[in-house]
Amino acid sequence: MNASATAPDRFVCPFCGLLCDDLPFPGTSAHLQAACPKAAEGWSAIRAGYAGEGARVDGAAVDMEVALRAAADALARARRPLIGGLGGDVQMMRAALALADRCGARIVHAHQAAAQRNLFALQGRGGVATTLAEARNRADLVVVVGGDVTRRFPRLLERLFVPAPVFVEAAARRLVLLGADRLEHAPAGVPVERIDCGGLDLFDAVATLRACCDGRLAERAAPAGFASLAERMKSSRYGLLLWAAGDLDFPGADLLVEELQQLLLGLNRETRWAALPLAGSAGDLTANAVAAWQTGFALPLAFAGGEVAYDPFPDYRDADLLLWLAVLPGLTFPEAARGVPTIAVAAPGLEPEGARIVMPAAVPGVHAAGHLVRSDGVVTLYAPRQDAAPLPAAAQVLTRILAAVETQPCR
Amino acid sequence: MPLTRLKGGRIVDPANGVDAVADLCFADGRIVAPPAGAAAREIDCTGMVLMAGGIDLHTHIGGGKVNIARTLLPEDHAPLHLESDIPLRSACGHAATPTLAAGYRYAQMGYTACFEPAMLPTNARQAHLEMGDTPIVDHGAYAMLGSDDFLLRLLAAEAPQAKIDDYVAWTLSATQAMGIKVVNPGGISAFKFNRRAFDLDDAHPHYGVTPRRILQALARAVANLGVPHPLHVHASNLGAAGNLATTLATMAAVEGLPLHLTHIQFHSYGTEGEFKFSSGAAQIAEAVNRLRNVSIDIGQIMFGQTVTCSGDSMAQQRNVGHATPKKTLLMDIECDAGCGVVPFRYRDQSYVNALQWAIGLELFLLVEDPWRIVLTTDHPNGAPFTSYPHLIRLLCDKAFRDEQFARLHPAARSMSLLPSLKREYSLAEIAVVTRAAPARLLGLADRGQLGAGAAADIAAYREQADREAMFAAPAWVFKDGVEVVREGRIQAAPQGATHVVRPEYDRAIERELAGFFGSHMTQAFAGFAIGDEELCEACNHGGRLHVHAWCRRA
Repeated sequence: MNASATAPDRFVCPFCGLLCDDLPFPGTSAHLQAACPKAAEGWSAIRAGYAGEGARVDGAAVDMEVALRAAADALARARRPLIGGLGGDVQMMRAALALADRCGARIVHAHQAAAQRNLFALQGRGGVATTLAEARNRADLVVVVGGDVTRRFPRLLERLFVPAPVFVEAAARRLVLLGADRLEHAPAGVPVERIDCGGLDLFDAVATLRACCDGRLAERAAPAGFASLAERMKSSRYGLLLWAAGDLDFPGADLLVEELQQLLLGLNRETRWAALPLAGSAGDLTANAVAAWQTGFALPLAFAGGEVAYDPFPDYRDADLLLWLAVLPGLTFPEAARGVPTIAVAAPGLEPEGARIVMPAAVPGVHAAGHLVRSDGVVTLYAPRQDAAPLPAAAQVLTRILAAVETQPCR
Repeated sequence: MPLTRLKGGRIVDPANGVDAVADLCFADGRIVAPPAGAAAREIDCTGMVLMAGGIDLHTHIGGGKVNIARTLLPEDHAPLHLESDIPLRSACGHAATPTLAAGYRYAQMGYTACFEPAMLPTNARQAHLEMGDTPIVDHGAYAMLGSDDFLLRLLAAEAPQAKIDDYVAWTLSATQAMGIKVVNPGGISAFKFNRRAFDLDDAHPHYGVTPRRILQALARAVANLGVPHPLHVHASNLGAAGNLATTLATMAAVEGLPLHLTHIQFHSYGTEGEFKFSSGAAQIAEAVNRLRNVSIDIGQIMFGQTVTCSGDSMAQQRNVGHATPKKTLLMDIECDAGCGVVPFRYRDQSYVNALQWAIGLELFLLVEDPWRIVLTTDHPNGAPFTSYPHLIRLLCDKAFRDEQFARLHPAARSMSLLPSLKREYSLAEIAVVTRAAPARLLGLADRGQLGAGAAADIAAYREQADREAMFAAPAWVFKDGVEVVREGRIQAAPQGATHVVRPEYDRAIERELAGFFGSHMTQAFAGFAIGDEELCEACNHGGRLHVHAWCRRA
């Protein structure tokens, strides 16, 4: 075990993409509730009081070795395996990709659809981004687009607005909501304004705002407040757009993100604006980052015959075996995968219903150390181990499955 | 490992003054003097040229901006069908090469070590994780400083040099780095304050310090700490017409301290001619020839699709309109630096691109001392590293160079002195600019050469008049004595080592840094440094750590 992995005095919270490292390690979920409801929810979900449950095959407790062998047999026999979930750390993802490559599997994160809203926009036209420290120290005008971003990231605004900013007067900062009615977790002391979209849907509202910023639209053609917001955006010294792709759950949402990024690129011709990406919960950024550096492609991927290909819209119903990886909470099991024979490498409490083989594994940052990618995609934190529960890291389990598969003739 | 004898090859080992047909022997991963008697393994190398493994001292192989570039361009990744006699991981890629493909392809070209030149301290974990997934080659990285708020605050407060030295040493240690790079000194920070250009003596809009002061402080720190690689400088005004004046002033600014100017092709532009864009290669080469403290790598461009990924967000903002395809990602990063990713297609019928190509070659041919020049394309910014064999042929073969030159935009041809440069690189000179010089510039005493005791990183090329074909596919490649490539086919994919330097420093700087993390940053200082155990995990528990330990000079 890594020496720094046992340092008990530093807790990196793995329960949302912000990866806060200023919270105390939770003894109980009640302890966390006050600090962060998302962390408390995650803590409850992983059933922190690990009772020593072992591996299971068809509901019966078995030795881990038996479960590993059964999993390897099933993977070797599967014709169209799919590795899904992918809520975990860098090492888990490395092992998952190696296994997918060996078995000719498809591999997809459970929240791929949300991740793709940002990804497709990036791959379409690019954009402008910033990180948490720049946002905290510089932003004088923050525009929140779409839903209430604080429901997914309860401490976001606390982390942005509570520390004293370095390059802007604290009192000069403003927060504007475009699309959302209110914020559940707004920090005290920052004025929040709401701009009414005047009956426009979100896409039209953003396109109208962009037209105002570009001077392409007469003031009277836009809803009240848009023209003055555009003026304030243009005169802001460092503005910030916030959205949570997970909230933009409608068809064509990637085009909305593309419009937001075009708005940012336009504003940057004269002043400085950027988006602070809000993602990374349940390991989606971690999984996509590792996939991209190893293969060139963000997820989903399809491995077959010694080739890897970008496979943007995999269908769970095509799979004849699902290997579900869940050592971080918050994954939604896909409806389309119900009925697909399932093997799970999962933290206690995160096993999907009806999995035929279950192999328990450690939550990174709780039962094992692990690397996780933060919401802004730049900072990777090494989350130390907190708890002495005798759970193997997911990567170790997958590596042992791979070793067992290698002794079998793969198709 | 038992003794292996490579028999009868032509050993081209300029570090040891060798260019002769002889046997080359190694055992246990090290070169040994050829003993009498038979070796356990003998390989006939008749007709082959034996060189030390290639060393790329400036190649963007790992870290956030490279990963953004990969993600940005799914259309640029084609499956790579790598010849191999062992099961390899599936690989693909072209310009922004993924890690697996980079390791395999470098080894297939006879390269055995690669250095990532722009590791942001706040992104160092990811850079090491990516390099850890780059098989076969040794690796290391230069930590990027110069637009980070901590250094700019120290300079604004006129902190003593000793304190700056401590901060630089702490950075090297905390991020497990091999050197220090500065990119557009202060300019990435100035861009966050909406400055669009930043020349050597401009005052930073917030801190008041100038790029000249930043350069001097960092070059002095690197020298004081005894870090073998000189300060690695991406100068101000990248890509701007007329930037040759800034580049010459940058050379003078360090007042004789060691200085490595990287991708100097992008910093060698004048303003003459109809299009107000001309070659400054002659002036730059004259200065490099005169200033013995200066080394360079070229950053040669090649025609075709690539992607530029740079820490220089300010310069990349200027390039948004040139993006091909039309997409760009700009980023401000964590009181640390920034980045800009702009896909680019260099065209021989573009006046500017054609002249950039010629300028790079002019520099290669006009700089006299091959020990102070390194062959790079600033992968992938000038071109993917896979174009190195073609570049080598351009340097070795005047007739071939002339043929290529004839295809350029006519106005660019009229503005280049390339046809008048008759020089052709010898094999020994190629060995210098691709191995011996980068090893010397990095302080890798046992790499880049084939003397007894050196690492058995060896490439055996079948000698051919067509140098491109020759250097594209070595017959044999050994990494630390392990046969990794035979006739282009991969034989083994060991984990390479990580190279780091660790100068000593006064730990008092850490108290100040802890305060800075509290006032500026969004992660705890206590978790920032990367420990050896963690680095080992990043490298898949397979690599070795080469600590090049230097103590601070008195």
